[in-house]
Amino acid sequence: MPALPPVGGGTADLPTTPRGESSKKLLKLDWNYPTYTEVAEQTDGRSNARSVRKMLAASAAVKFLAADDKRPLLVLRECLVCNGTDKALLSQGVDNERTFLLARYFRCVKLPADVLKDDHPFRKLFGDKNVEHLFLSAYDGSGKVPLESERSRTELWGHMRSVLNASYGQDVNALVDQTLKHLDKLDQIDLRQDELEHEIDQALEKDGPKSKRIGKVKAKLAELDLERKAVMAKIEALSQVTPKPVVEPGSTATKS
Amino acid sequence: MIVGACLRFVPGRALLSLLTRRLFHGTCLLALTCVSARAQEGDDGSSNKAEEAFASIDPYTKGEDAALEKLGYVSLGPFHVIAGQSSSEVTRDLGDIPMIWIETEHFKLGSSLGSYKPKGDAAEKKLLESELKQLKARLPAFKTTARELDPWLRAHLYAQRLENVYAKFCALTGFSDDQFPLPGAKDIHTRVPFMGRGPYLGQSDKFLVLLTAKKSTLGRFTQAAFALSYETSLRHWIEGGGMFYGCCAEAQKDYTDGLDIGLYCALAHGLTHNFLEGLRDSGYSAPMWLVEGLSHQAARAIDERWIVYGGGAENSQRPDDHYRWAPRVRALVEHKAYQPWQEMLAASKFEDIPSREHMIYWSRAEFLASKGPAVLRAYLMMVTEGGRPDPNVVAEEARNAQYLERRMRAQSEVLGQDCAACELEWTRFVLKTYPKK
Repeated sequence: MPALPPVGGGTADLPTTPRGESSKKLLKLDWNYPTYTEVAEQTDGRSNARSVRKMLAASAAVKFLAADDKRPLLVLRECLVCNGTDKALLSQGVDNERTFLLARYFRCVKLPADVLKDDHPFRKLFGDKNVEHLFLSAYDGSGKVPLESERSRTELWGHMRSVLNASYGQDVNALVDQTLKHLDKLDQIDLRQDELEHEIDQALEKDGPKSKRIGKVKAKLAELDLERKAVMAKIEALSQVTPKPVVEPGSTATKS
Repeated sequence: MIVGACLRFVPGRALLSLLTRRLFHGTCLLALTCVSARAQEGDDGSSNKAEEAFASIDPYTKGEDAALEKLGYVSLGPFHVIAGQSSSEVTRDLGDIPMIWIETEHFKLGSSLGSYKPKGDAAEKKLLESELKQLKARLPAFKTTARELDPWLRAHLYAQRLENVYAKFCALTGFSDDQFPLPGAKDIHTRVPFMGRGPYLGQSDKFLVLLTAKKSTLGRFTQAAFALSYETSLRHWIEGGGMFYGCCAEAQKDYTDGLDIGLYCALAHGLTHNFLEGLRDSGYSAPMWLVEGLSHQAARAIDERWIVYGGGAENSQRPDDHYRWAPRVRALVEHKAYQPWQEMLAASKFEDIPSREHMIYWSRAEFLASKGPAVLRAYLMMVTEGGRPDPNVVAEEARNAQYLERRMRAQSEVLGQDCAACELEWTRFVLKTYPKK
């Protein structure tokens, strides 16, 4: 049987509640997987081109990763040993929800394990020694904060907040605190929706569409749907913050 | 860059990604010394803590032509995959991860699935036994039992599964390869009826399938190929011809208890969608109810427990036997609690299908299929006739009206019944065929 969703994070003293479907859509890392390959003509001038790749300058690599997104960057490098999942950011048995919600304010980029090869377009994003698996920076690569995986959640969150606050000019953590409260409300709505939908299925299969119960349940479902939309609108509003333009050192002009 | 513009796509149901809560250890230096070590077994029975090293040469065929021919393979790569990129180039762009590529008669398969250790599930065990026998009958190098499926064996099993699903679809629908034009045939656009642009159920290129161990691999491929990052699963039309289905084992495991048979069910569902939506290159004009219904049928024929898409699988309140659709449909029919047939014909958006209607669509597809391949083929021919009206010329509302007109014509000319009569016959089919409990 398909497993029920795992129990969410929380302290030992507090009851843990599974996150509902609506919350889960927000509690995930929205990764970008950029691939850069130039198409080269065959040396004999034939029209059939083959794709080649070459190392880009760091500035060009950052620009490609950021695309048109002005959010600060969170760049994770996969590793042949660690894994290709989000484990470099997440820890076992520890509440990772704040990590997910803080990450929403970043452009999250995941690079493949071979990024350290000399011909990889994004090689210059990383140094030559003690190469980190994860770094945070402004969208143009400035203010880079290299991070390794062996760190506490508190330390990780501290660095994320620091970069975010510098990028947005406001306390993003406070926005996350509000979002978490809304998620709890969403979970209650989802749980109630599941119960009501199950009730409708049972009523239909047992008594048919003329069951007196169905009309009332559908009305409740409609109310829940409105409630959910209202909560989602509040959450969306909390994410509608615009990063500040990056100021180049020694310049009065700002990058846009 | 791998680029593929899309005419239209229907994303696989967005499955939620759950966290794998393993503590990361290790630096790059440690990684270099451990890269060839066998990974610790993961929750789904597969090795997922580190990149598992695949044998560079297939231990079963040794890459030998005679062996490939016995399995019905064209190639183990490199071959063209998408948008001018070869399998080698795709592997490189995916991070040079261990990948196995197999080109069969109708498919191009890329697999980064690692080893899998069966967990003792009875249905899966029975399936594997028959599949291994089927493989061994074609090539003696395979064994009929396996305590663990290594990556190459897993890939061979999936290659066989792809062709098995295709063969079953053709047997069910009455379509066969010789009914479709060869690529570049001179009469492609003039033949009557129009049968698409190529021999793969009307597609000019083989069906492309990517099965990945990790979400990042699928996300990386789909972003490069279609500018859409889908980490769980995706179906997509390929510009220039062909249909793509990609699925990630890591993403599926929470919905299938990590069983490989569950992944197979998802695959069968996705492939059938692609067969129908690309049929005769008709641009997704096959009716949604039939596409969904036959796709469920294909998956349930393997194992009815794993309803990966639709059917209310996400509802946490579902009872343990929620997957037993036959008695549930019977109960709905007895109480006349189902979408009217004519309303069903008009359904155009996947998101608009209530969970319980998936069961109804499955049942009605089963009912239609019970009339035999000739009828089902004729029905599909009529509802896909004319393909998809140009969206630049015909607005969505007008397109839907055209589709409905075709479907109503199929009702009367192929089934010889109006919607009400068809619906009545279906209810009788259900009451006669489905158990009460």
